Amino acid sequence: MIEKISKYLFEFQYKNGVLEEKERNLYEYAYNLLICRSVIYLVIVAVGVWMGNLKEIIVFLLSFISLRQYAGGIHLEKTEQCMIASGFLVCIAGEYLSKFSMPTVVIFWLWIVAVGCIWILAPVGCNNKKLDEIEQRVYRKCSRILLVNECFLIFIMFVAKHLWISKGIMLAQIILSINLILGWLKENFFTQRLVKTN
Amino acid sequence: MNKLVKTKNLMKIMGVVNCLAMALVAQTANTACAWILGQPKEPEEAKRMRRF
Repeated sequence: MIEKISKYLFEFQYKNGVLEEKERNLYEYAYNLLICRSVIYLVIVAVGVWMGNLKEIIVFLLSFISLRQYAGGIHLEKTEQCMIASGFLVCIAGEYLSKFSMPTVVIFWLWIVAVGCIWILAPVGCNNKKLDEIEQRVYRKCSRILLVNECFLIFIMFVAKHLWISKGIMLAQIILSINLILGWLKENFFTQRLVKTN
Repeated sequence: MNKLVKTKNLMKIMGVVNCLAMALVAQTANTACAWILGQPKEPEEAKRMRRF
C-alpha cells in the first residue's frame, strides 16, 4: 500500500517533468520513509492521547529511538508488519509504564544486563542495510556515548524522584537489547545458515 | 486555466514534500535504523549522502 503511494507520487511528478527516471529509486525510498514515519508517529500520538499515557509514551519513544537509530537491531521484512509491530510495542510500553511506574529489583537487574548487551553488540545491521567497517565504528561510538548519557539521565531522574522517567528509559534499553540480540542472531546465525544451504 | 493553476500549486506542495523526504533520506543515511522497527532497502544514491 505504502509502496504504491510512493510510486504514485513519483509517477505524478515524473509525468509533469519535475523528476527524472534516474531518480526513481531514491525518491520512492524517500517517500516511503516519509509516509511510514508520519503515519506511525501520528498513530502513536493518537493512541497515547486516547489511552491517556502520552507522557509515558514520549519518554519511552525518545530514549528508545535516540539509541536505536545508532544501535540498529532486528527489522521486520514488510513495511506494514513493521508499522503494526512498532505501534504495538510503543503503546504496550506506554501502558505498562503508566500502570507500573516504580522500578523493581527485577527491572534493575534486567537493565544492567541490557546495558552490557547494548555496549557489546551495538551496532547490528540488517539485510536491507548492511553496515560496512566505517559505519560500524562510527555507530558503535555514537551508541555508546548515547548509552552513557541515558544511564546518567536515569541516575539523575532517580535522585530527583522522577522514578517513572528512570523506569521508562530502563524499559527502552531492555527492549532495545532484546532487539539487538534478535537482530544479531538473525544476521549471524540464520543468514549464514541460509547461505550454507544455498 | 484552473487546472493549470491547480497543478502548479500542487507542484509547489510536492516541492516541500520532496525537501522533507530528502532531509529524511540524508538523516537515515547517517544512522543504522530508519524508524522504530522498519528499514526499507536503501538505494545506492542514499548511501552517497553519508557524511563520514
